[in-house]
Amino acid sequence: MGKILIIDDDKGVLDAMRAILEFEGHDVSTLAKFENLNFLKEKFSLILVDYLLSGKDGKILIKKIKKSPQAKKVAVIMLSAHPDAKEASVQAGADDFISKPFEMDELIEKVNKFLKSV
Amino acid sequence: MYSDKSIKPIIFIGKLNTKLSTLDLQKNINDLTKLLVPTLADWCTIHMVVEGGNLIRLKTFFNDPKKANIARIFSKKYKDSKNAPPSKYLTKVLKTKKTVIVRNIDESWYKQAARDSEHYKLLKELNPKSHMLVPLLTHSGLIGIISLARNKNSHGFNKTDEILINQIAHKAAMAIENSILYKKIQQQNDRLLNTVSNVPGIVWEAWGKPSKNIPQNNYVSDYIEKMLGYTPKEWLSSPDFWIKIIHPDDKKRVIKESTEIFNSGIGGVNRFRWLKKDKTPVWVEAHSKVILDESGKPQGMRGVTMDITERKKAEDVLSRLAAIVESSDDAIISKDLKGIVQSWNKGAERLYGYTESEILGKSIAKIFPEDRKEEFYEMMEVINMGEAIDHFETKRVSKNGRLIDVSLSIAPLKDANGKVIGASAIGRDISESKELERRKDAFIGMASHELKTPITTMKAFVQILQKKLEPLKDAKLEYFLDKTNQQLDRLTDLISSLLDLSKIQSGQLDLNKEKFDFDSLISTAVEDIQGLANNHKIQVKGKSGYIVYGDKHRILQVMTNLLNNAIKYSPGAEKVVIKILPDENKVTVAVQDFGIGISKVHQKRIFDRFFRASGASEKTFPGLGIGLYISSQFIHRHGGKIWVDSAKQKGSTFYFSIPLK
Repeated sequence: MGKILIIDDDKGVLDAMRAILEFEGHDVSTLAKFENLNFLKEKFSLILVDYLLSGKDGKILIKKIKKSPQAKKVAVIMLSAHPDAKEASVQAGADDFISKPFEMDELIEKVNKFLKSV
Repeated sequence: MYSDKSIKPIIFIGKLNTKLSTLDLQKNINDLTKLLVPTLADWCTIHMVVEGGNLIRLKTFFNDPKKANIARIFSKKYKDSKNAPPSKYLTKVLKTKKTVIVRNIDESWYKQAARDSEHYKLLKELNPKSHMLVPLLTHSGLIGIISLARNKNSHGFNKTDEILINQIAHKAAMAIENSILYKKIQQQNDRLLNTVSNVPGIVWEAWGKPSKNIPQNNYVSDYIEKMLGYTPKEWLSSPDFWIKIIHPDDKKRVIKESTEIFNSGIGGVNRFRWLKKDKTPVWVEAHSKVILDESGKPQGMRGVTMDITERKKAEDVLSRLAAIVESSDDAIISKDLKGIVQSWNKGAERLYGYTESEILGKSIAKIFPEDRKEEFYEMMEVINMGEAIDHFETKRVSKNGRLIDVSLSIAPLKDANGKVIGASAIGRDISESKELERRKDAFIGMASHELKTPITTMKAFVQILQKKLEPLKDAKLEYFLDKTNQQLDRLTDLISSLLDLSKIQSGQLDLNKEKFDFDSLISTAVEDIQGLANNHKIQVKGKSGYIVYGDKHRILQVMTNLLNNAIKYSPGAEKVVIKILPDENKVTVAVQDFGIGISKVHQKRIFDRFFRASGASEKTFPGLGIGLYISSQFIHRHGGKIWVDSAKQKGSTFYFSIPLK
């Protein structure tokens, strides 16, 4: 099973998601702040990105990830408190979308789906 | 029969003077004929010249009483030229203004004197010897003709007769003219008095200075009694009566104004209050004209004073309204059907930047932004139907080109017959409140997003706890966590509603339309809600089999909202019935409950933002009052309709329909 990266500017959300996914036995890294794409040096199987990152647009980050040579094949799930953000997320290149607040089962199901296909 | 020998011209003239000194025309004519017949002639006729130079027979008098019936025929049939033209002799005198004498009448006379064949016969019967026509002349011209005739046994008219009769005619003409003039003056006077007495105001004349009238020369019309309760006699009893009854607050001013009008030597108008005999005040308006002597010095005044109490009341109301309009912060304007500005208050000047003089008589189109010009025609269409437009939110452009958010209320202006002649518009600057609304919506959007983040965290932890505690099989702990999770879901729903509301308000609500199976969407909603409902059984009747193109998520929200309400507001009921009613071009869903129902008054507003039914029975139900508003917005955005049918204590049925295309 591959490693999962969660990018969210809210520490609480990061902790909670890490707890859920680790509870399910996943290997999880979290990232609250970033300046560049250096974090992609590490190899991830799945990246979860928040739609609205303080000062940065999650959609732009997804576009960059999907263009980067080291991570362009990595599945990306976008999360947002705006239920309407789904379409925009998919357009930006996200492979799936989860609206916040989410049901634990939904998160686990979607994460497992992508990790299995890897 | 007359006898010329008995005539003494001097005595005769003297008699004439006393006889013809009256101003009564008819009496003068009668006296004249009696002077002439039988003393100077056997019969005579007096014609007068009337307007248009025509002759009218005033009197024919025969000495012989047997001939009275001929006089009657003459006076009736030959009174004027209606039945037959005047005789050649009359026409001749009318033209020449000179005496005509036919000393000895022969057949040729009859031809000239007869007006028609009947007249001829009558003249033949009379068989006169001699005929004389004398003009009645005054300095203003010919006023009539005396016609005299003598019978066969007399001598014909001669020079002596002519002189005497001409003298009589001269005297008579003057007397007749005087009496005519007098009659005219009398008629004019009557007419004037009649007019004066019909003036709904008092007509007056006052000599001397306004403050020092000379009462004996004064005049006041009878209307004074109707207007003030005082008789003309009371009025004229003291020189300054009119001042005495002026309202104390007006007295000083009125004396000053009236003195100024008097001194002007022309005239003027002033308004003041008089106190009636019963002490009630009357507003009057006095129109005065100054009476001058030959040297141009003011001697007095005459005029008309009207009761304007009613007019004053109306004017006061008008001026009060005008003051309200003028001082209003709102822009209040009026325009005709072509959009030409008729009035423009200070508020309009402040809001739109144009002064009254800049825009009066110009088109209102000036303040319509380029992209909203068609609004004018749309509005006028509504106004022409006699309908008003309330609180219409739009934009206008000010003189300096700034776009202003305004709320307009427009109403038709009608004339006395109810015909629409224009429109009034009240405009309010809502730029600030619009901006505030925008900021508030942004705030709600941001806040609800921020609120969801901690809930996400809490929910995640609660669910981990649930998972971790599962093996313990502690029913109580599971129950607590389940309840916590449910409350978090409720909180999430509330926040979502607020977010939806802010999107609707800021016009950012976007539909994510896709094709979906309508019936299975209804099933999903029913399953979701049935899982949470303890006492209600949700029944679904009918199916559509339709694939609908729309925002699945939003329609599900509407269904959830209606089902939640149905359960919430029917606490004692056991079921909620859903009917799917497919149609040719739409699908309608009915959600029926058997609960407390909604009163008719509340039904109209139930889809309004923040509306909540406020009866005692509804107080116990919590909520924000935005659910149905949001639902109605979602349905409207789909081009559909949402409505309610309800009866108090029987239950409500909410319907919504979605068009298929």
